[in-house]
Amino acid sequence: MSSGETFLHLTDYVTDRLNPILVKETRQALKSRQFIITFMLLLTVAWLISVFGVVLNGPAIEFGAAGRMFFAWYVGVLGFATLFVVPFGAFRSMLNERDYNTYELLSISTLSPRQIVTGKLLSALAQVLIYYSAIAPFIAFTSLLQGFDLPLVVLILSLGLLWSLFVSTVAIMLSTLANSRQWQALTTIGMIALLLWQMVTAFAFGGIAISESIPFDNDEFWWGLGSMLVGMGGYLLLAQQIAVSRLTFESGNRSSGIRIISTVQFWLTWVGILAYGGWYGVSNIEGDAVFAFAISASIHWGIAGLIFSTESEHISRRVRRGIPQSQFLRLLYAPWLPGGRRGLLLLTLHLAALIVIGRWSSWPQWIGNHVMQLPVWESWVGDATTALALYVFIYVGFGSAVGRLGQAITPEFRPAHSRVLTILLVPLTMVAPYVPGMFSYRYQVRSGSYYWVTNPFSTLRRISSSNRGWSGSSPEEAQVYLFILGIAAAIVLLVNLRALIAGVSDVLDWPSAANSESAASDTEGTNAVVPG
Amino acid sequence: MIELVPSDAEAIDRGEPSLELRHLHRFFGRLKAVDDVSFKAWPGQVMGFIGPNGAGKTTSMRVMATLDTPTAGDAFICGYSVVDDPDKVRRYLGFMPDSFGKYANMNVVEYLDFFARAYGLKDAERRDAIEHVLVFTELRKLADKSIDSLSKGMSQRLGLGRCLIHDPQVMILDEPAAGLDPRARVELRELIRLLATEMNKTVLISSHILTELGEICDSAAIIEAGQILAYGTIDEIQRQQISVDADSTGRRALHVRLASVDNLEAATSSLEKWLLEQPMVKDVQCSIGHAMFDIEGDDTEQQQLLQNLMAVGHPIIEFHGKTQSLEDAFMNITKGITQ
Repeated sequence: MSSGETFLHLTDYVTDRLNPILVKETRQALKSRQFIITFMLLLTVAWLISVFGVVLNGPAIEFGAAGRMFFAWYVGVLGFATLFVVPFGAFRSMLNERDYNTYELLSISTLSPRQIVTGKLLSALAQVLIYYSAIAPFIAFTSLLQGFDLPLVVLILSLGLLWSLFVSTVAIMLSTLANSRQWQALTTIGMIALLLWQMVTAFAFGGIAISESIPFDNDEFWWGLGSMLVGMGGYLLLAQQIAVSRLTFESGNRSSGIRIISTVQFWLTWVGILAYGGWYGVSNIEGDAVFAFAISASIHWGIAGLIFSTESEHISRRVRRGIPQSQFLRLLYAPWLPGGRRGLLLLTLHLAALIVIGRWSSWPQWIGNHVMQLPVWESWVGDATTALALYVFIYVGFGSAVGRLGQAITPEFRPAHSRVLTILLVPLTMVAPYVPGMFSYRYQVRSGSYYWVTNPFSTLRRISSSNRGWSGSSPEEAQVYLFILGIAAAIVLLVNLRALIAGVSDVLDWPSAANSESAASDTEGTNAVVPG
Repeated sequence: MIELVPSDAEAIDRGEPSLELRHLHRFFGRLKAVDDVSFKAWPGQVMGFIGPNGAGKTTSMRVMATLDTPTAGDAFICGYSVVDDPDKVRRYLGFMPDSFGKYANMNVVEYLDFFARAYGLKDAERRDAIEHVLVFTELRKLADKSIDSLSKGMSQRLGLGRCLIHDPQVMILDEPAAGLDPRARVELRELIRLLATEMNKTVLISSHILTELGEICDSAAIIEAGQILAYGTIDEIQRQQISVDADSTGRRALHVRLASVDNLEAATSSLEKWLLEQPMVKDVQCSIGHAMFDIEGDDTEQQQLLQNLMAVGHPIIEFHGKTQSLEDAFMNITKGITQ
């Protein structure tokens, strides 16, 4: 066998073990006009930068810190390719599958949705690496100049690579959300705007990093970098899972993966905060840090909870087959199984956890200063976190109840309807206190009135002020707000209580996998599969 | 609704059906795109799926191909449910949609290679599968040609090749002959016939060109407004349709041919005279050597008439009911309902 044949066989052997989408897309990309143009442009511009840079610097290039300047320019050129062209290519690649009727061919193959998404992502990564290899000689050139900083170069290039991967994942996720032509057009415009915005932002951060000296010996820097990477990794996995779920066959489990990742993100963030506190001593956790966590967790669970709690209640036999046999495990697993009622349960449990975290963080003043010193001793954090969690529960609980009511009235009422209604409810309740004042000055709701409780921002401001004794407010004011919110949340809970219990009992009552199979064959031809 | 219950298709023991629809329903809001559709197909069978536009053919096929889920009921491919085991179904199923899915910057071999990989074929198995498909579809000479530059006929061959790459047991072809010129159509028809006869595959094929379906299909299901109106072998559908016509009018049309005797004209005249004397015979039309007429009555009267004809000594060599094409049967069965 000649060396050429050996090489071909080796290539075949290796590519057989790679993701088929990666092989296909790499073949296509290497022949595509877009790739060739971008690649040639990148080389040409980098070459021009080198030539003109050297000429314009003149003899100063020998002793000035030109290395950083050249590096910044090369990174800029590279950034356009890796932060705009590649993610947009990944976005279009998925849309093209639909436009050219190839998506159906993919989906009926034995490729799993995860393989499809991962393949798209890997091909984006392969392109990024090709662009990196193209710019490598130019960056090597900067190492000959003064001001070249290897740790900085490694950090910027690594972060650039990860950021490109993250943006590409989000792009792929967004491309799976739009099915109709109109939505695709709208999403494409949004995608371009988003990519431009993130690219400019990344350039701004990159510029600062290159021009300033990075404090590599500072612990805080590594904590910040680590948090950013963990956060980015978490949302990368979430975006990937959403894309996978969107491509999963209708009778498959589209929800549990997203639920599990959302849960892990929440607890990982809290563990990260505790670890940070542990590193520096617990007293270093500031109330603002806990409240920032509460805000991000509320937004996270507000969005995720609204989607989970308005899901279709139908569980296919295929999904049922995958649930544990043991009743105890079923009970534990129930909140992570598909279905709106279990989605609301998952949300309720996490909001309860958030309240506990907020209260625990402000423990000493909540029950008295004689208690042992705990991380945060700012009582407003506990109150504000509780208020945030209650607001999320009220809004999402409302959406869930409306969804079930709508479904009971007409099967035409879809999850999207209850989601839109809930989203509309938020601004409506926020502007509600302004409405009387629109008719007459006499009816204007005065600042400090409890009517403002329908506006979460106003409530949070008052709670924060009242605990700190600002704006002439008293500590009791926060308790009144919490009382009102508590009553509203209790009503919402009561409205949803039966559904919450049914969500769990359904799971416990499902026949085991073997029974389910026989039940299925007994009732063959009558199984109702209601698309969500 | 005209209910034609197939006899041959189900009476003969062919083992397990490789394709089966059980009370399949697919609703889009209030639109009942597929409404309680059931049928079966066995290995080696080419089954036509016939219906006007909007009848529910493509929707049913998409459900069978695991591209859509039924509102109720189920479809089974080689015994696997499309709802419960879509991943297993996909191993045994090749689906050719009505539009050819093209990739840019790809040649014929790369296209087949990608789908072979997508179906998990590796190493020699993948290379052999590609080679086999190239030979079967006669695309060997075009292997390095860009798929963008293929003619419609060649694209359809490539589409068929893609379906075949993982050697599925069941093939579902949605309007494969649409837009093809007559030669490409004949060639495609031959390929489809080979799939069933030589490769023992089950082929479900939808088409508007009924004359062609009549030639390649051994059975058919006629669907309109989401419901199956007739299902069985092509002969059964054609014959039973005549029976249905007979049942509704009380008459059945018959055709008699005489042997080439010396005085055929006289023999024809004698036959005509004899027929006109028979009370159950109506509307006699004769030409030399042939007589066409209606008979009032059922199988017993028809049998009695044949016995009498023979007893009188007419030189009869053919005696049969009027045949109709699949197209005639389709036109008679369907009502032109659109939804």
